[in-house]
Amino acid sequence: MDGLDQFSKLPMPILQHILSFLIVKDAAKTSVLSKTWNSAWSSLSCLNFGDIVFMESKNVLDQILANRQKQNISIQRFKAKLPDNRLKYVDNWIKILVAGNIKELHLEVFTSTNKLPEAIFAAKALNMLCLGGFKLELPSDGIKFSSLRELHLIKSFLDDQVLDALCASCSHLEVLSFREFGGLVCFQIAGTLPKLRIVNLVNCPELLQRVDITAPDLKYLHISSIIEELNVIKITACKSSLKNLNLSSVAVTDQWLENLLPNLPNLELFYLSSCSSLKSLKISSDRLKYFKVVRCNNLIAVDLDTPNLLVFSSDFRYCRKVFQGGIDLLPTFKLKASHLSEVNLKFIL
Amino acid sequence: MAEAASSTIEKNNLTLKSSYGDEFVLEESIAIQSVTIKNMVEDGCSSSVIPLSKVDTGTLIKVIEYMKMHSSTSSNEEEIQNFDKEFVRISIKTILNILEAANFLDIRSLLDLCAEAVANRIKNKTPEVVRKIFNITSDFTPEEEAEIRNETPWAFEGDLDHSLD
Repeated sequence: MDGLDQFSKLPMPILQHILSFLIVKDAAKTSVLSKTWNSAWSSLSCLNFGDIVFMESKNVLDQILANRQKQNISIQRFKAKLPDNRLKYVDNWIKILVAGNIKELHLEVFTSTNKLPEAIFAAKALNMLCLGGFKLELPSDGIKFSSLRELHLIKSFLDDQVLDALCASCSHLEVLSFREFGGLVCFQIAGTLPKLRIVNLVNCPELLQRVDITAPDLKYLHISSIIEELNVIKITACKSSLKNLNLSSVAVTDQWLENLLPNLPNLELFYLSSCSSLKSLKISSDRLKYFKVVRCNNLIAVDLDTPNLLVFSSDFRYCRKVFQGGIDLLPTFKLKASHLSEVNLKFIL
Repeated sequence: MAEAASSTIEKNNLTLKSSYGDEFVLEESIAIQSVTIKNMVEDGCSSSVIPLSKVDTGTLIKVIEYMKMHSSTSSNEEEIQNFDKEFVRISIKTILNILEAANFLDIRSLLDLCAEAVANRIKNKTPEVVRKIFNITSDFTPEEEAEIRNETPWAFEGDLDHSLD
């Protein structure tokens, strides 16, 4: 044994970088290893309390934050999933984090939906915000998210006005991801977000009636709804940018597709699933590489003129009708795709 | 072919010299994944050999292997992920050497990869086991250690992994 403790030689920022990949419980344990490790832990500015609900007492979090405040250390990243009964303290924690110019905040409250503390809207330095189980209401002092690049909402509520206000104030937004959300009647992005690249609307609620997106640099759009079927979707002004489009349980009609596709010349991946209004679809594109159409139960014809298509997937789910009514109920496939390397056709009884 | 000719002209090579004096020739486009080297190239100090006095030969070979893989246009995301996974299946001493080199050379993705690999070997382990794995000597008196342990008693509760792997 050379007796060399290589770790004590490591610069403090590297040691802290290692600790930033650990959840707080593991990071705190390293405090007893040696004096170097102890100071790395007590000045750690990335606090990840893990993906399970953090059940330790309120004092534990208070103490961790107070220790860092005492040393004038600002928290850069904070991630926690808290039980309902901690909610009354969240306000104060958020104030501390916002005062320290937090960059990345993941906050989830377990079980119910609660009003998001207004203090959060003052977080000017925030780059990434992930919220779960909150109701967002317009703050009296306005939204100051001037640095926000990513907004992720899970099981959260917001209405059309809050979305409008967010779009108006977060001009640097690149990623918008709403999952199992509520409160919105119209999801409208009206061209105020020039950097928007990714929009994810997963399990859209019944209440949502319209999706209208105008975003010049949008590359990835994924929309799925809980119910059959989300009605009006307008995708405009992402003409040359959109590369990846994934629609599930959306009222896609033949006409709608026919109008949309010529406007998306750079589309490389196109997935359609559970779109029962779709009967006949025709795609002509020399960029499309991946195409999937599944659980579209009224589909009768697929016509692809896609020389660069690599993977094509589809299924026949209404074969019961096939046996009853004759073979003409199977959709007809016309494929012009010379580069095709993989075809997946499922026949489900 | 005209295309091939032009790409040969564009290909600038750099020579990196390890702390043992071994020299490695590398394409500039690969080497500038290191922000430190990139800055040297931009400042015009790269015409001769670039001495890396803090990086030994074995470590430099690993760093070059990483940079080559990550600049290759022929490898896809999955291949790179598998490469990364295998890359950190090495002794902790080697990982720490690479970590220090990545820090000095300022290669962010390599720094992250190694830091996470070290963190994964600490995860859920008792401090005693971590000390053994990483050969860490405690400079606390037993009283001091008990006091530190008392500051975050919740961190030491629950089932912990006592194994050395």
